Parts: sequence; structure tokens; C-alpha cells
Amino acid sequence: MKKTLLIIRQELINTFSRPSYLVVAIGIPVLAVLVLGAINIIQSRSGDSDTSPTSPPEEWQMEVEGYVDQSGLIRIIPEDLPEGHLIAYENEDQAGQALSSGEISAYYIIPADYLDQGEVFYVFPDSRILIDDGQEWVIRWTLLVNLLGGDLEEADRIWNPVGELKEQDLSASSEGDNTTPSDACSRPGSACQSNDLIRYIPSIMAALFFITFMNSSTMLFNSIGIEKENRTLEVLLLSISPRQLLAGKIIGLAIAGLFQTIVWLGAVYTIFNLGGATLSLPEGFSFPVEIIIWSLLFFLSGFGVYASLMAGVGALVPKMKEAGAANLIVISPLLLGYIVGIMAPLAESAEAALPFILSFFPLTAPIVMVMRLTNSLVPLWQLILSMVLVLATNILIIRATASMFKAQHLLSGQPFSLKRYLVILFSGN
Amino acid sequence: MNRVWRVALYEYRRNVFKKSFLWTLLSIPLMVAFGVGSGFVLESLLDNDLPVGYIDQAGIFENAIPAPVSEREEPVEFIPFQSEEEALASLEAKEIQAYYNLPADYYETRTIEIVYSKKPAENANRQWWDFLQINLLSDQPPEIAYRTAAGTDVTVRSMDGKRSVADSGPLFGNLMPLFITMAFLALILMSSGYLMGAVAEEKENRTMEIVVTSVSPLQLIGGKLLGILAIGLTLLVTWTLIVILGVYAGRMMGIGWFQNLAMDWGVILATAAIAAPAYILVGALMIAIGTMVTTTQEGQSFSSIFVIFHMIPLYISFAFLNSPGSSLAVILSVMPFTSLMAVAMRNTFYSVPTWQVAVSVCVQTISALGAVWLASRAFRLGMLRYGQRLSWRGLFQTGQAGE
Repeated sequence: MKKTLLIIRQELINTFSRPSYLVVAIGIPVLAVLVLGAINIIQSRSGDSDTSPTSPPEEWQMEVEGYVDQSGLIRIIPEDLPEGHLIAYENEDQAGQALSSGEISAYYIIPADYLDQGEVFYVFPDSRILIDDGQEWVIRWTLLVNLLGGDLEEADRIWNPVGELKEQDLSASSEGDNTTPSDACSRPGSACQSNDLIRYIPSIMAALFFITFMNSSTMLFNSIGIEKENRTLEVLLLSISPRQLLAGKIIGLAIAGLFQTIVWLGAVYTIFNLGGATLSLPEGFSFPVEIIIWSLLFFLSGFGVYASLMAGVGALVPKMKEAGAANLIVISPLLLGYIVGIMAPLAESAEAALPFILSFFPLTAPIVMVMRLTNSLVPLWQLILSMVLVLATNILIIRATASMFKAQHLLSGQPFSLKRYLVILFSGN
Repeated sequence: MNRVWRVALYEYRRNVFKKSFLWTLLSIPLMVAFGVGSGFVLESLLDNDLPVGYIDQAGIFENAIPAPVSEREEPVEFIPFQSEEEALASLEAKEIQAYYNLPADYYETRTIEIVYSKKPAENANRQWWDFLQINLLSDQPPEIAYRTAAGTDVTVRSMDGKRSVADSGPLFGNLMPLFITMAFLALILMSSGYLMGAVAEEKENRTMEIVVTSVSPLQLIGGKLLGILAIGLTLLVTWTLIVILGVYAGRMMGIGWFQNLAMDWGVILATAAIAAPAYILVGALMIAIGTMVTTTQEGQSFSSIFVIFHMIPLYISFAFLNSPGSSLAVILSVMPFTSLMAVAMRNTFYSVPTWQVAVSVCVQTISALGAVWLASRAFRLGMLRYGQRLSWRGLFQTGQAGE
């Protein structure tokens, strides 16, 4: 036990003294929180932290713009536009000169074939960024009014044909679900239709867990691979059993991985709970702490599975450079979980059959179940069942990997083969 | 000079003519193909071509005119129902994805009801809107009704006409400078292994001691860097060919995003002119670090740090994208490490003045030359202190003392 503790201590010292680990585990999340904090401070000083518009529409100043109408469609300027704010020019040269001299802020070109093609050009000066929408609604409105012969009332009906849309969701009424749209946006999930960021949080969590699993399990692979390459392993095996070595490494790196996950989830929790105004999240939104707790539990159980599988590859690969394909095979279920975890919430299918099944399959559950529980309330029995399955697989895989940690495998120098890996994993010899 | 070429050729052959290089070569295109493929799958999942029903009590659709649909999407069928019961039965039988109920007083109230089990897809909503608009205009001449319902596409254009952004968002050609920058960053990550291990292997197997008897440190480092640059070029050329093939296939398949490939070649040239010395700068620094650290793995973590430096303009883009001519934007555009991303981001939607690009190229080139010199010095000192770790401070101090 004492030797295992020594290995754990050594792994922790090695990991925490690596700049790359510190940058990924602490630097990036802390930077993200600091950037958000800085934006919050800047916005609160400039007084625009409120997401709702503060100035009434009448205070809005319309910019003076020009147009060159090659189609001959524009006969009148709509009455509701302020006078002198949309100036006609004979040709593009005149409009260009007016733009260069600052008389107008931009100009439109309505080509002769507008009626067929429907394309209008909005010309900006060189100092203006081209993804700025400007006030292009002005030309859309002007063209609409002119196409309808100057009839403002009809143009208004076409511009906005639906004054009020009454929605009736049969699924909500049949399930007795009384959640209002604002309730749906009080927690992360695709049920919130009005805020894209809230809808995409489950995908963000799936991506975050994929990165965390990849980082943590690669750390174990590297740790074994480096010691094999520099022959430290040969010396170590004189005084410690292979199983003690594996246990020490897995526990040590699980602690390092858990620390990284806690910092990352802490950053996510802080960003979403404190940065609501900056991220334009609706009032009343909160990131439930239960998601963090369950996510940590799934990380711990899932880490054992993937770290052991990677450790097995590390034990059988003579040189780290030769491990590319082997690693890819081992992480492929994780990759599947990641793809489903990212795509399902985006396609509003987080509760479809495939993510549901994968949230119980032990090799994909640590990602897919985290995505599901972030997306909506998952019944407790499902969470427990999934956790039990992952833990059981964890125990089986650690036992199987321990059989790879024998001197004859660790020191053999044989090239890696998938067949040999699977045979040892399943038969133990 | 002959020796420099020999070292370069050796370095190139050693790394390229082996099976694992094929993985390196194909990994980025495969990742991009996967990303783009996932995007298209996702988009198709978000669309739903199931019909939409309607109950027209206002008499708008008496002689229904079909909605104008772009060539890129499938038309959604709109089915009339006489009563709400019929529509509901059809919805429950999953024959339609939703139905709209237009009351008799629609013209006065403009109120519409929609009934669904799952919100109708984006394409169905869009087409319903157009369907309603074109039928409200049934008393207008067909071309006027069509144009009004189909709407106006506003393309934002620069004064010289060289750059434009379509209504649907930036197209492939618009984003070319950013793609080049991303390819460059991928190149840094891919080459980091070669760069860090450039001298490590010879040092490990003690070949180095023989090599340095006939090659000077500057020749060796110059040759190694040249060889690795050639590897980078091989990767870039292959990726470019694959991208061209992908774009050609995309155009053949009628994907709208690839239809307009117009791009400003001046901008492409400016991005490439900054990228080349920026890559040499990072390459030389990585070789220097490779000679200073004890393990290749330790050194490789620095490649992520270089990539993070290059990504700084992206992280703080909110601070300068709305005012791309600001002092912050100009500083980021000329500083080593940040200039490539900053110029690419600004150039995508704004005209970066030529003098700023020229200053940036000069700064990058001077920094790159300095880094090559530094790498050769680190290597020379590393040879003298075999087995000892060389610190940055020690590199400059000992260098001065040694001179």
C-alpha cells in the first residue's frame, strides 16, 4: 500500500509540475472567467449591461444614405421615413463621391434586373466592416412600398402578416406539462427556444467531457509510455509489482483529472450563473448544481474505463510513436459518444432512441448521460442504472488491464497488435 | 550551402518516406470532412419536409399560389383542411408536422393559431411565411407578387467592389484568409513533433557528435528547418489539393456555399506573405526549445502555447471587430504571433491598409531571422552542456560571455 501511495504522490508531482497541464487545467478556465468578468465590469461602467433596449425608438437616429436606382422602381420615398435621409443619385460615381466626402454613410445600388434576381448591393466605405447589417431594412421597406404602388397599409400587412401567433403544443398538454417558455429557459436544454446558448449547453458539456476524458486518459498512456521508453520501468519493476504500479498511476491521475474537471465545471457553473447579462441569458436562468455533482460522478467512473484501456495500450506499445492507430481504436466508442452528445441536442433529439441507448452503454454513457442530464431532467433510476453499469464495466476493465501489467508484456518490446491486445484484455493471458 | 541542402534532404526523407506520415497527411482533411459532413447532416436533421396543414376561414387561399422556394431546398406541401377535427386527426396520424388556423377576422386582427406536437422545422416556417405573403398579394401582377414574397437579397460590398458579403452570410471565398490561418495553425501543431525532435534523435543516439565535426550549428539548424519547412509545404500542398477536390465535388452537388468562389487575391497574398515568416519564427523557436528541454513530450506542450498566442486575436475579437481600424487592431496586426490571425480576421470583412501588411511582414521576417539565430545558439550551447538543461536566461547570459 505504501508503494502505491508513493506512485500516486509521484504521479501528482509530475502532473502538477507540467506547464501544459496547468495551462489546460487552470489557465484556460480561469482566463475564460476573467475575460467574462472583465467584460462584465466594462459593461457595468458603460451602463449597457441591461440586455433590454434602454432607449426608446424615437431617440434612434437614422443615418443619411443614398441610392442608385437602375431599375426605375423607386418612385416615392415612404412617408414614414424621415425626410432627406434617403438621397437619390444618378449614377454610382456620384454616390461614390458623396460617400467619400462623408455626405452619406452608405449607398444602395438597385440593379436593372432587380425584379428578376432580387439582389441589391449595399456599398460601405473602406472604414466600415462588411458584416455590419447597417440599416438595410430601409431599402427593403422602400422597395416593398414601391412594388405595391405606394400603399403603406398593404405594405405593412405584407411586411408583418402575423401580428400575433397563438401556439398550441399538443405534446405539452397531453403530458400535463405546464411549463411556459420562460420556465423552459430557466435551466440548460433544447426546450428553451428563445436562447440559442441555453439550447447548446448540453452539446458544450458533451464536448467538455470528451476533452477531459481524452486529456486524462492520454496522461496515463504518456506516463507509462515515457517510463517504458526511458527504461525507468525496468528499475521500478524491481521494487514494485505491476498491479501496484497500475493502481498508483490510475489513482494519481484520476485525482489530477478530477481536479481538472472540477476547475472546468466550476468555470462553467460560474460563467453561466454569474455571467447571465454578458451572455444575454434570460432572467431566472440558473445552472443546476445537481448537473455538476452527477457529472463529477460520471467522470470518476468513466475515467477508470478509458484510463485502463489506454494504460493497456501503453503497456503493450514498445514506442509511443507507434501508438497512433491503437489509441484511435480504444477511443472510438468515446468518439461515438462525443458525436451523438454534440449532435443530438443540436438536432433537438436528445431524448431519441440512440442517445437514450448510448446513455446506458458503459463506453459512451459518461458523455451521453452527462449531455442528457444537462438537457433535461433524467429520472433518478436511469442515472443510477447507468452509473452502476459504468462502475461494473470499470471494475472488469481494470481487472483485465491489470493482466497486461506483467513484466513479460511491459518489457517484451514486441510490436503492438490489436489481436494481441484484445486477447489479453478478454482472456487475461 | 551544399551541406545545408544535404541536411534538409535527409530531414525530409527521414520523416516523409514512412507509413505514419500518411496519417499526418490525411488527418486534417479527414477532420475537416467530418466537421463539414456533420454540419450537413445536422442541417438536414433540422429540416422537415413533412406537409403542413391549414384551415383557411379568411379566404386567403381560395386559389392558392405556391410559395417561392429556392433551388437549394425541397418544397414543403401545404394541405388545406375544412375543419379543425380533420387537421387534428391528420396531425395525430403524423401526416402533417403542424397546422395553421386562419380565423375569419384575420384581416382585422392578423392573428393566427398554430397547432403542433413538435415545433415545425425552420424550412417549414420559412416556406409558410412566403406562402402566406404571396397569397395575400394575389391581386398583384405575378412578377410583383413573386418578388415581394421572395424578398430582397442585400449584398454588402466594399467601394472598390473587390469584397462582398452575401445576404446569406460569408461564402467560401470570403473566409479564405481565415482558412489559410487555420491551416497554418494546424501546420504548427502537426510539425511540432518534427521540430521538437529535430535534434533530439541525433542527440539521443550520439550521431550528433559525429555530425557536428563536419557541419556548423547554423548549417545544421538551417538545414533541419528547411527540411521541416518542406514537410510543411508537402502537407499544405496536399491539403490544398484535397480542398480543391472537395470544393469541386461541392459545386457538382449544387451546394450553394461553394457556388461563388470569388475572392480577393490581394488578401490571399497578404495572408500568405505573413504566414510564411510567421511559420519560420515558430519553427525556429520550437527547435530552440527542443534543444533546451529534456523530453520531446515536454517540448510539444509549447506548441499548444504558440497556437494559443496565435489565437489571441480570436479570443478578444469582440474588442476590435466592431472598430477594425482601432489602435488595438493595428497593434495586434503587426505584433509577432498575433499578426496572422488579426490581419486575416480584419481582412475578411474590412480592407487592411497595405502599409500595415508591409510592416507586419517586416516584423515577422526580422523576428524569424532572430529566432533562427537563437535556435543555432541554443543548439551550440546545448552541445557544450551535454546532459544539462539550458535555461532561457542561461542562453542569453552564456551567449554573451561566450562571445
